[in-house]
Amino acid sequence: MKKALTTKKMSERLFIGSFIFYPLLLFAVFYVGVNFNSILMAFEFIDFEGNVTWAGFENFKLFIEQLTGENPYLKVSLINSLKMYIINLVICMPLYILFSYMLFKKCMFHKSIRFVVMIPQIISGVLMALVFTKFLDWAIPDIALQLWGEEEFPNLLKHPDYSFGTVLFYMIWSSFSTSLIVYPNAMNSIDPEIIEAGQIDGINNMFLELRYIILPLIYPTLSTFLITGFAGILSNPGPLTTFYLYDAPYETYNMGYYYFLQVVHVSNQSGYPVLAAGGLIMTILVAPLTHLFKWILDKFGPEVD
Amino acid sequence: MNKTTEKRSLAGIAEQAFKILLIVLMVIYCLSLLICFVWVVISSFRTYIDFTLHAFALPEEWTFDNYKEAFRVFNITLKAKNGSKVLYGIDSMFIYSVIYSVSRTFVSVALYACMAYAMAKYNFFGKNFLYSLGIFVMITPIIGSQPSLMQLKKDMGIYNSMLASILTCNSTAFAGMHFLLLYGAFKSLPWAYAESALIDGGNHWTVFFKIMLPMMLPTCAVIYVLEFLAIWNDYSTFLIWLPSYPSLSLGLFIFQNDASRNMVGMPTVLSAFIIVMIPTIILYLASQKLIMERFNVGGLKG
Repeated sequence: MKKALTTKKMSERLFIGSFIFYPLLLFAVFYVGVNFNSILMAFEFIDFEGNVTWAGFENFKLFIEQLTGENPYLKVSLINSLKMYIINLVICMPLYILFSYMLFKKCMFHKSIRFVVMIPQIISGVLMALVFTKFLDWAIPDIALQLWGEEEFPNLLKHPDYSFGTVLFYMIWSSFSTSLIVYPNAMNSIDPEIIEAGQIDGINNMFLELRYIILPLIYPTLSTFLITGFAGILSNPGPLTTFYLYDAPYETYNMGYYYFLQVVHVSNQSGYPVLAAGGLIMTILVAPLTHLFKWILDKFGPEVD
Repeated sequence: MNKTTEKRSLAGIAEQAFKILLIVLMVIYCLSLLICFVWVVISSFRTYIDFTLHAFALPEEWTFDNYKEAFRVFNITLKAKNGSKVLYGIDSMFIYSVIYSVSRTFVSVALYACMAYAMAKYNFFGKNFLYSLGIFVMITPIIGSQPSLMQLKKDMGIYNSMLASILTCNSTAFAGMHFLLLYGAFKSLPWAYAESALIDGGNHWTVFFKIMLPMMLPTCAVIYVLEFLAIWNDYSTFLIWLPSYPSLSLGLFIFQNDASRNMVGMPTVLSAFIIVMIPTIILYLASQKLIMERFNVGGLKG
């Protein structure tokens, strides 16, 4: 009996081991190992021949110097990354919720709308960006000429005053697909009896329904997106590589793009340590903030009765 | 009394007006997406001169020549592993795209499924820690680890290797939205079927492959399609990690950037885009209903 139990247990353990061993090995090497190596690298100096020596905190000093004055690209990248998240929070998120609510309520054209909003997900981002660029190049100047007689209309993606705003507009425009699938699905999982009970209790318009029923019940989904979005503030390059590849205007830089350029352009390993030190500083700054953000959302989020 | 009723009816009107405004905004948004798509399709059937004269107009003459031309000129020159310059045609880019997208997505979803199943259905030492670690990994931003990954891959000799890139594609299979979706789905499956199978002499592999996985296939298919679409359209992975294996997406990116230098007209470029888009459109049309029903994300407790 005992032997049979042991064999059964062994077989179960073998099964579990076979399922989790390889994913955990990958995690150990390509997540833990890479990040550990990144921490080590932050304290190293690598010469052009690849020889490694201890650099102490020199790379950190260099990065902070670049951030505080010598490297204007780094500063503008940091500010723009924060702006991108705030815009997402203030403009996109309310629109996602309101549009999703309408789709959940099966408004006019709801099936067609859900089908069409997936276009940015289906077709290549390069094509979306190309169409957007051509629209700005050809259609907008034509419209400006006909409406206001404006003959010299600026290139909105390259002009210093408009380029960042144009990039932000594109980001918002192309960002709806996942949200308009996930949020209505989350709303659909709400028990209709709860909504009916709410109506009996006087919840008789969309704003009350959103405030007292929908938002509290889809809050876990909502907070997941808010937290992962916050975590990606400094690593998301947005559409910059698609629009400009290596030549984005100074005004549009963000941290994700800045790091992309550094990795692609650093021709040998000697430039990596400063980047690793910078990454470590940013991680130390943003990681606790993300966890604090999650804690705040969990603590002060709506209670479901 | 009358005042209250009047207030209510005013509020009702305002609410209706707001709802109409929201529908109008959504319709305008959808039209803006559709117009782009239709413009690309129509332009791909226009002659170069017709397109140059009026970029936003209906064709004066419909032509398939751009597609023939796209198959002929859609090629790019890149540095190979040994440093020499190599010309990649549409056929080789297509093969790289198919091999990479199909197998990488398969490996990634398989790893998610393994971890999600083991963690949802079995108790083992460190399981709760692993779940919390997954949430931690998911919400902890790691910035600037690309240089380290590049160095590690070069040191291990797996930089610019298609096979290694596929096999090592998912290093956080117990974190992320797709893991959570599968974890929740496995958790909701009853264990009674498995118990019956185990009593009847089946083993844990039989239970997974013959009972649990078939029930979970629709959810796995949704994740497969979403990951496939993202990978098929991704060019930056190939640009950074697989420069000797250009995919159609990277090819298109370079092709459209160099189009004017290589005297390739915009209708031909757009035809190339349509050719590359066809597999994703077919896949989406085939799986649209599943995605609409099954794609859901829960909270981050842990």
